[in-house]
Amino acid sequence: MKIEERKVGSHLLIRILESRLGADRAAAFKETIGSFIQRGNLHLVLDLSCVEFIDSSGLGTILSVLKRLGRDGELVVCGVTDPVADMLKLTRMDRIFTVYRSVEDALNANCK
Amino acid sequence: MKSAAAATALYRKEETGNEKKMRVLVVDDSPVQRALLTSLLRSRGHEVDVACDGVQAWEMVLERPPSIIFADWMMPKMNGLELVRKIRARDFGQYVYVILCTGRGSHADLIEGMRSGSDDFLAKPIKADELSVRVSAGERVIQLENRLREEKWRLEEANKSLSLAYETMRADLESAAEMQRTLLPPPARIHDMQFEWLFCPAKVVAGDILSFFPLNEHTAGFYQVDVSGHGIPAAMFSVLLSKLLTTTPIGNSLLKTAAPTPPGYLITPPHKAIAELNQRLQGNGDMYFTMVYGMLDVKSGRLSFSQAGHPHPIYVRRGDPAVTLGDGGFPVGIMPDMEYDLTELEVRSGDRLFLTSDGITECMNPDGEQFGMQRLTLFIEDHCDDSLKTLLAALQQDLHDWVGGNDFQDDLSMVAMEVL
Repeated sequence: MKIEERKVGSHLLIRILESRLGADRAAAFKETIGSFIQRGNLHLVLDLSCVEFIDSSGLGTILSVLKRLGRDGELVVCGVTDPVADMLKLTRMDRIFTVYRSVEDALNANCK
Repeated sequence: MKSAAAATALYRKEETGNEKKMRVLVVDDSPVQRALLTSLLRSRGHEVDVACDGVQAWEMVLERPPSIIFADWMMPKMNGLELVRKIRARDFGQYVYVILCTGRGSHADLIEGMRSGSDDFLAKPIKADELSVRVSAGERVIQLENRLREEKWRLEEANKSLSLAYETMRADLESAAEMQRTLLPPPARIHDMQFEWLFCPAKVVAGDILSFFPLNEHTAGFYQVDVSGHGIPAAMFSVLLSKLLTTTPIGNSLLKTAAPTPPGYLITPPHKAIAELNQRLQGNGDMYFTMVYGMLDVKSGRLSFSQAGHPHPIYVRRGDPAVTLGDGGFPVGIMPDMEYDLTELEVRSGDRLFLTSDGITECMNPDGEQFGMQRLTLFIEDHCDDSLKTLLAALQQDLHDWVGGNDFQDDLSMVAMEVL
């Protein structure tokens, strides 16, 4: 699972470098993010600019990350491409976590 | 059942009683040489046969291939070199280690001898210590070959067990798929509504499930569910759901509850049914599902449904463009206390509604392009004069062509209905 991460203030910006977040990548993705959370990173900004496609397993993994962060944590998603934005809208995930179109907007709004 | 070669290896071991003891053939036209070699070899514990010339030796090799041969080079009828060549030209199912014995010690002779296939040389006059070390080398090679052959046999047996286990699992899976198919209702006419379906699991069993059924004398209910993921876990969950989404036990099911006033029951509106289902199905790890649940009341002509993270239903009135309905919704089983929307519309004879799973819209061709909702909607519009059955068959064919003969990545399913 190719990922780039860097700290921006109190937030951890995680950039997914894969174009597909599907069933085959779901377990690896969950483990990687899980390790970030275990290290105490509770405010995550997920950059999905490279991701063209997320299937039900991929979405399930994002949701499990959300559940794992719990009340004390926060998940923000940004850089969504059209197909991903459509899927998040269809499943109303945009009402469960905040979705920003651009990475800058997400960082400006959250990382002060 | 052992292979012939493996049987030979084990036979060799059994016959000689221990791994180190081997069958050796000594070929020399000189009786003195034969006697010398025989006694030296027997003192090492080997079983020794003798031959006086190449022709006799060859016959003995054919009858019972030895592990090691000491062959004199210069012999009448057939010399050692010719014997080696004949041995190497034939497959005995085991390795025959050849040591050429010769007084000829030139470099050219060495090359010629080894090129014919001889493994080693023993110079005459034979020295006992030299014989000893060269025989040891031969023993090592033969022992190695024996071990490899046994290993191969063990692997073949393991492979057979694995194949058998796989076949059993595959058969079980096919039975499960068959069972899953029997849960699907046959195409039916319910209260002036014709229902048909398309169902193609990606991995023998599916995480998709669908159904349609009467809710009362003038209302028909229908649903399509897509469990996250696919394969066995998703399939098991889908079977569980199919049992919850029924009108039984009478008066006390999720879809139809008992009521004190006539007619004695209440049909749960789609959005409430899904909300209740969501409450009941929390805590299944990462598993969740999307669905559309709806109903048509033929008396009022009203179609209502609720959409839970599922692809939009496609609606077409004959003569009009096909459109997608609904405004999305949360998937089921993720978080409790979710609310779902109810969509309602008036329908009339000739109208059609299609529920699709994302396996169809996300179906990818070899170039990575998705079939897409737009293409599907257009397809439905183009086939409005075909019967539902014909339309679905044509769609299945189109999707097969779309993936270019590859397997489908996800379950494909569709519910098609027409108001008659």
